[in-house]
Amino acid sequence: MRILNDPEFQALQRERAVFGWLCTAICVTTFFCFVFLLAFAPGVLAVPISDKSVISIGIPAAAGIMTMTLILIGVFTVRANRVYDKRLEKLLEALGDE
Amino acid sequence: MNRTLMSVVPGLLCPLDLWAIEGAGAPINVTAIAMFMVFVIATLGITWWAAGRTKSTDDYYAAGGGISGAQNGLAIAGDFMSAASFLGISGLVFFSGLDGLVYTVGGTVSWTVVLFLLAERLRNLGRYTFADAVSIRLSAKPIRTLSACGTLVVVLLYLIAQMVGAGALIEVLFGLPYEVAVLLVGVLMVLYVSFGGMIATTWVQIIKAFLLLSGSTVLAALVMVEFNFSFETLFRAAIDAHPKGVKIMAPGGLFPDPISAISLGLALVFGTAGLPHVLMRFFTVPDAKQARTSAFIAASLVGYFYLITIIIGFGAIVLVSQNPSFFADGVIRGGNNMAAVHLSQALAGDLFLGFISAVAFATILAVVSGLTLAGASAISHDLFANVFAAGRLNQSDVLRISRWSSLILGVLAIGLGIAFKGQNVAYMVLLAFAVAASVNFPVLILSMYWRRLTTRGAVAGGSVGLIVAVCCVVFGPTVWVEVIGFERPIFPYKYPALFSMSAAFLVTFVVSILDASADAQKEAEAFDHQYLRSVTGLGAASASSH
Repeated sequence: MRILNDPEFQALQRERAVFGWLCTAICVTTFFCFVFLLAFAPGVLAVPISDKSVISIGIPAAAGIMTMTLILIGVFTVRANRVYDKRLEKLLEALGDE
Repeated sequence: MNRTLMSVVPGLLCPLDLWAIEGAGAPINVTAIAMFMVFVIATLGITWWAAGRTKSTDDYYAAGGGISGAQNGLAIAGDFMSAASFLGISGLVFFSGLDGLVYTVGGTVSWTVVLFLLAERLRNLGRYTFADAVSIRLSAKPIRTLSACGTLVVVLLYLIAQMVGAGALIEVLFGLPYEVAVLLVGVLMVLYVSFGGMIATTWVQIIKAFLLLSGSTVLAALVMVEFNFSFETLFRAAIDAHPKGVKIMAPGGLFPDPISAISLGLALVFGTAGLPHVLMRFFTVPDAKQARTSAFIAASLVGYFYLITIIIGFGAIVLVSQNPSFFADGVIRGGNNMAAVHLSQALAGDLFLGFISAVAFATILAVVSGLTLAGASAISHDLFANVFAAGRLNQSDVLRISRWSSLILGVLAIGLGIAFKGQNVAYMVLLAFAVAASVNFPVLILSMYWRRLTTRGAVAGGSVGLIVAVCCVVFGPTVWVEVIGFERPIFPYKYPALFSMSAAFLVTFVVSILDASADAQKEAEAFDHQYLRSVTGLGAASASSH
C-alpha cells in the first residue's frame, strides 16, 4: 500500500484521471451542445453550409462530432499505451511492491 | 434459383415447405434463408466446439479470459450494434433526416465514457459480472441483488424488444410466420448460451460484427457510387425525393419538447456504460490493457458504423422512397425499419438483398445471445452463488443453474415475444437504456471514483433510479397513452433519463453522506485498497489456467 503515498504515483494517477475526465467532458459537452441546438435553436443547424449547397450545418456538425470523438478515442489509447503504462510499470518496479 | 437450391440442399430446406404454406403472404426468400442457414450451421458448429472447452465457471462466464483485445473489441461492437442500430437508425434517418443523427452521435459519444472512465478499472476489479467490481468494497448481498435486478430488467426489456422486432422483421424478410421466427431465435440463443457459454457467444458476436460491418460498408459504398461520391448530389437528390423536402436538412418534430431531447441524450450517452451484456465482455480479456484495446476497437467500429449508417439512411430516401415496388397500400413494405433492406435490393438485386436479410437476422440472434448470457450470469453468479446460497455452491452447481437460467430466459423471451406481437415495443429499448443509465451506471461509476459511496447510498439511489425510470415510462405518453389508451399522460415527457438519473445520483449522494454507520466507515477505508487494484491491476482476477 505504500505506493499510494508515493508522490510520483499520485502525480501519474492524477494526470491520468484528469486526462480521462477531460476527454470524456469534451465529447459529452459537444454532444449536448448539439442536442441543445436541436432542442432550443433548431434554426441554427438548418442553415446551409454555403450559398451553393443544400447541405445544412447540422449534417457536418453531427459527422464532425463523431469524427472528433473517434480521434480523441485514438489519442487517449495511444497516450495510455505509450506514456501511462510505461510510467506505471517503472514505478511498480522501482517500488518493488509486486 | 428456387429449384436449384432445393436440389442442392434438400435436407436443409425441407421443413421450409411447411412454413411456406403458413407464410403470411410474404414470399419466401430462398437466398436469404440459404445464407442464414450457413450462419446457423457455422455458429452451431462453434457452439459444439466451445461446449467441449467450457469446463469451469471461468470458461462459461469469461471465456477463460482467453479472448484477445482485438477479438473482444469486435465482439463488443457486435453486442452494441443491434438490429435497432442498423435497421432502426437508418430507418429513422430515412423517415426524419437530420433528427435521426442524434442517435448516431449519441451512440458514438457514449463509448468515450466506457473507454476513458470504465473499461480498465472494471477489468481490474471484476471477474464475471459488473456486480463483482462493485461488491469489492460494498456489502455483497444488497449490492448484488440490486445489480442483478438492474441487469434483469435491462435484459428482459431489451430481449422482448429484440424478439418482437425479430418476429416482424423475419416475417417480411424470409416469409416465415411471426411465431416460427420468434421460436427459432429463442431456441438458437438458448443453444448457444447454455452449451457454449461465453466462448460460443463471443464467436457468434465476432462473426456477426464482421458480416454486419462488411455488409453495411458495401451498402454505403454502392450508395456513394450511385451519387458519384458527391455528398452534395446525394443530399440534393434526398431533398427532392423526400415528402418533407428541404426540411429533412433541419431539426424537426422528432422531439416533442426540449426536456425530452435532453433526456434522450442522457440515456444514449450514459446507458451504454450500464448495459450488462457489454460490461461483462470486459472480463473475457486477460488484463486491463487488453480491456482498453477492446474498448478502443469497439468504439472505433461503432463510430465508423454509425457514420456510414447516415449514408445508408439518406441513400434510402432517394433510392427506396421513389421506387413503387417497395410500397404496398401507400406505405413502405415492412415499415421504415426496412429502409436499409429495401435499399440493398434497389442497389444490387436479390442476392445482396438475401445477404443483408441474413445479416439482419444474424444481428438479432447475436444480440439476444449476449443478453441471455448476461441475464443468466446475473441469476446464477450474482443471485444464487453469492446471495441465496453464498459459498455453498460448487462450480458444477453454478454452471447447472446458469444453463437452466438461460433456458428459462429463453422460454420467457419466446412467450413474451409472442404475447407482444404487433405492439409498439420501441419504448422498451428506451426504458432499457434509461434503467442502465439510472441503476447500473451510477452504482458502477461512483463505486470506482467516489470514496464516500456506501452500500446504503448505492442501494437507495439505484432502487430510486429504477422505480423512477419505470414509473416515468409507464405513466408517460408512450405507455399510458399509446399502449394503454388513456387520453392524457400523467408524466408529460417521453424519455425518463433526465429525471431517473438525477434522482438516482441525488439519492445516492445524500444517503451516502448521511450514512454514519460502522459499515460506511469500513467501506470508505477499503477504498484505498480497491483504488490501488483498479489502477494497477495488482490482485486482479487473472486469466484462467489454460
